[in-house]
Amino acid sequence: MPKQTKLRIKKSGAGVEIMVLVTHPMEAGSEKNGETGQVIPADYIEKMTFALNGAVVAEARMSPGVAQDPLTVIALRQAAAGDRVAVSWRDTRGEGGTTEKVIH
Amino acid sequence: MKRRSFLKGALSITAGIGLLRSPGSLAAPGPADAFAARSEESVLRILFGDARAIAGEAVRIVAPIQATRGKGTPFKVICDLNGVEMIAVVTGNNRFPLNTYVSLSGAEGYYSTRIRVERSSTVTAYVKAGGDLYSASTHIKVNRGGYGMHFE
Repeated sequence: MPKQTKLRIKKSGAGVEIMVLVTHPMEAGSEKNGETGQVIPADYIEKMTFALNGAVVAEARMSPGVAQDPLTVIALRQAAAGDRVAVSWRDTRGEGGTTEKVIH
Repeated sequence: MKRRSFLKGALSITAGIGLLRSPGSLAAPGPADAFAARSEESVLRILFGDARAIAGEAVRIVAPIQATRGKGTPFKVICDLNGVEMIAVVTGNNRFPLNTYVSLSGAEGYYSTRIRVERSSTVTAYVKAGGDLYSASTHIKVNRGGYGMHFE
């Protein structure tokens, strides 16, 4: 299944919430396939970076302790209309995703 | 010529050994070590050194009281203190207690994620702000799925 990244910016109080939903299995590498008995290789997001107008404002580190299709949310108070939010992530297989949006 | 290339080779091998050895002996423990740690104490030592957490009102958690094993459990941490640098989520009874953490450099003291809780456990949010460490805990009961009656 393709690993898709969705970014949503929600106004909340004085600032905004940055909500990121990634379609991702977050496999630990310790589970077995029920039918074939083979170990499902590890495949999980290790790092997700949030930037505001090109400057990193948050960097999340993850493990298989985060469930599949993770929804990750951070909050920014000093963000105004016209500011650019960019999010990127990378997983243990070297795959990743990048998406960005302008606040309006 | 032969002697030169031999020397070059020897030099690069020596440099290589130096590089290989450095992570274990010299460099500070990194994220991989924190996630590989098997106990909450070692997670805390790697992430926060000797800092003692102050439990109290500074940190708020929004999470359900029960969950299904392996399924995403919403977990939200809110801390209104100024200068929040890091928020970590630790599930004491998981095989690898550290679920996730976020380093903040401009974002507010807020982190929401969906964690896996393997069996009933206390889940603690640790927040580093202004050089101090704060925490708040909640207990999440885990059932095997189905109707929420088979707690582990």
